[in-house]
Amino acid sequence: MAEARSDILRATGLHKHYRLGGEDLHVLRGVDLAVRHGEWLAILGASGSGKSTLLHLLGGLDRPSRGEVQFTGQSIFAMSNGALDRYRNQQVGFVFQFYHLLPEFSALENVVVSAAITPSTLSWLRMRRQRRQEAAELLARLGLGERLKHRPAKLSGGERQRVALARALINQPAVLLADEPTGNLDAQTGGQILDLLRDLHRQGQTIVMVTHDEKVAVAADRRLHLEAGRLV
Amino acid sequence: MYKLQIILRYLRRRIMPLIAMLAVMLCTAMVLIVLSIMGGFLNMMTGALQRLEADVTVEADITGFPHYEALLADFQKLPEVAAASPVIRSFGLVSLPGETQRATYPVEILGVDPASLNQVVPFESTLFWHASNIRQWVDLLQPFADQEAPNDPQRLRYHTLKGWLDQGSFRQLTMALLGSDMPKPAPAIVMGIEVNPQNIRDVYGHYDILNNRTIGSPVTLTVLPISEHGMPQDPEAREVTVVNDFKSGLYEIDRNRVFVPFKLLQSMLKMTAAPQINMDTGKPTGRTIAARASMILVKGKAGVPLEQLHEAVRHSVRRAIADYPDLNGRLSVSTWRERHEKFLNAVANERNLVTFLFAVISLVAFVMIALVFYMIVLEKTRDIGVLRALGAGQLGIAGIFLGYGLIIGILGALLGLAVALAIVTNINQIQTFLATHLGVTTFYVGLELALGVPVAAVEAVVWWRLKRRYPDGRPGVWAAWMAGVLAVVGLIGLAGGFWYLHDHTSLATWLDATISWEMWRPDVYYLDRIPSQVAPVDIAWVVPLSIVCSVLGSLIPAIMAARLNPVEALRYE
Ligand SMILES: Nc1ncnc2c1ncn2[C@@H]1O[C@H](COP(=O)(O)OP(=O)(O)OP(=O)(O)O)[C@@H](O)[C@H]1O
Ligand SMILES: [Mg+2]
Repeated sequence: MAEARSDILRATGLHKHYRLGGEDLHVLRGVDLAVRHGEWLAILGASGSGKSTLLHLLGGLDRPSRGEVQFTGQSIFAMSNGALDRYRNQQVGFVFQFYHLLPEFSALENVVVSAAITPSTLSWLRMRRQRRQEAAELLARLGLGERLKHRPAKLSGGERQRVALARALINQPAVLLADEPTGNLDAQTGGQILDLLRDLHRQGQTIVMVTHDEKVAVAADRRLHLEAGRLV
Repeated sequence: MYKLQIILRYLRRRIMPLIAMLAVMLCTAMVLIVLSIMGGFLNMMTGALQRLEADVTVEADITGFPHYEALLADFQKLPEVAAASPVIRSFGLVSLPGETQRATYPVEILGVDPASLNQVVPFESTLFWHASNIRQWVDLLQPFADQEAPNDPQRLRYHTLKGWLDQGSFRQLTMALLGSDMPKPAPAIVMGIEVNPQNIRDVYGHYDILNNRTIGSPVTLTVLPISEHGMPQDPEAREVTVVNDFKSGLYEIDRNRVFVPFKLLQSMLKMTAAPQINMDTGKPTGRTIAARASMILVKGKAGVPLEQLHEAVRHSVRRAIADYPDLNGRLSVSTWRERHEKFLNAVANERNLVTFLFAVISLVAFVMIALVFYMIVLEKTRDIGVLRALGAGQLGIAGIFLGYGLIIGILGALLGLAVALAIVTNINQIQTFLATHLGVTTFYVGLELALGVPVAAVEAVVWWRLKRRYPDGRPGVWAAWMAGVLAVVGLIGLAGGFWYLHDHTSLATWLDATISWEMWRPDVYYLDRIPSQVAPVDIAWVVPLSIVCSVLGSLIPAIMAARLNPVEALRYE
């Protein structure tokens, strides 16, 4: 029972096929995974091994061909569409491999948008000021206090990734899913991001990080390897 | 809530919404312009008809019918009737004075009682000359005032017209002259403005006053009396004075119709009461032949349906026939709708056709908007993926694009309305400009291009050189300088062109005569101007319809966007 409580995210028998024309690409071939509350888990794997695919399934962005993902014991793909939308917005913070910020929005707005998605119009009008304030503070904490009004195009890669991180954290998610958070950054900026993750982890944030870089993975508590569609 | 934020941001940032808005704007403007002008023509035609036609007309053949006074009194007593007026209708000739010889034209002649006629149709307001537009004409005649020869026609006209003008309201005077039996200097006639072919409209649609040789002049009116038995008798000719012209707006009418006093035409046609003469003996029989008229025009009271009025008049006619058996079989009663059924049906047909065309145009507009939105969705696919990944629902995504369509629809439709209003209300000025000033404009534009293009080419080379030599230079300053030079050259060119044309007016005239585009010739068409009003009714349905079309056009792309798989969308390049 105690173990079940501490497993925040659990994947069982995950399969994912991609169909390209007539070809069938079997990327995940029965992945089993349990993420414990508060742990920092690193998933290592070669390029194309299916790391992003796995993370997308954990985050409820895509549906598996077979198998299921449970969040605190509840199967996320059995939920209604609305509940799954809320799961993505509230329980999961997703940091993408390629930042994926909205180009028309400033750094601050990119973070605020994530906070504005779930609340109804009325409740958002009531809390807007406060949430903006929170977003600004969060960005300041990540060292972007001077960059709130900048658009993504005006930011460096490291800055963009920090905005993406702030966006993932604004709703205080139960799990932070980070897809190669340092993959597109030089060693130094990558190091800064890792330091931030380390701080978060120290504060009790559950983190699942995907990387192909052993040096990055050493920061985590636990490392798993994705090979031939399975975790080892 | 994030949706509105995103919609507003997308509106400000991208070229696509501008294109979409342009599409909506152009479609709205096009529909409104076509509708206003086409509908305007039809309305002008039907309006002109209604100015000419009484609600109900009672008429006989050209020999006329007796006892019209009794009928008239009966009609006036009907509760449905507001006014009734007797008319004699015949055909004849008018001979107009000319430089060397008189010109004679066949016309339809209406003998009218202007006071009662004006209660049945707005006759007075169709009179063309009124105090202000006749005054300039009289001023032009002023030089003839002190002509030596006392019988000089222009001198006589001047004094006639001046005398009329001095009596106050020119139109009211016309009505009085037409109403009295024997005015001076001769009985009055009001001619259709196009009866005199010298009355030509210029390219502005105005009547060239100097060529009008009839107003204030004597003309000769010839009619052919027809006996009560339908036998033509000796022609009757009378000299009458043109006291005014009238203009209904329908060329066919204005070209053929003249009005004279009822009593005058009645006596010329020998339709007045007369002692009956025995054909064989040539002696009076002691009985009288009743005076005749050929039609009675009836106007209904406001709010009385046309059919009810029609029925009341018909009933009254039937009673009159019982009293006067000699009326039997001579009278027909018809409404203006019946009399112009062909024309009104043609108008209705035209409207149906236009509606069909609009259905096609709307479809095109709809597809255009859908395409533009499809492209917006493609362009924004990655953002859609991001939003979905962040937890936005399918409805939320669809809502973004529908809201986007709504706002673009509203803005585009309002802009289209503004464009349509600007074009339609100025259509006659645009027409005049294209017909009369295009040549000189082309000259100026050509001059500017001839000067500007080489200067701009040189500047481009200079720019390129500067850029190479000073890679860290200040392009803003260079651009400002170059724009300044271009502007100065342009102004010098304009001033030079203006100065040159000022001294060579024949060149300007030649240019305007040679380079012109007449989308419309006011001097030849039935109507003298292009309708220039946008009907509020049309606005009331076209503008909301464009907005609805725009939302519907965004519907399919919105559904498409909502159904995107977030991961696929994120991978989209
Ligand atoms: N939507 C898709 N359709 C078809 N094939 C896909 C799709 N998504 C992923 N793939 C394929 O699945 C495999 C795994 O992709 P995935 O992005 O999960 O790899 P990855 O481990 O994250 O690689 P990298 O380290 O390069 O990011 C790849 O071969 C990829 O081409
Ligand atoms: Mg990947």
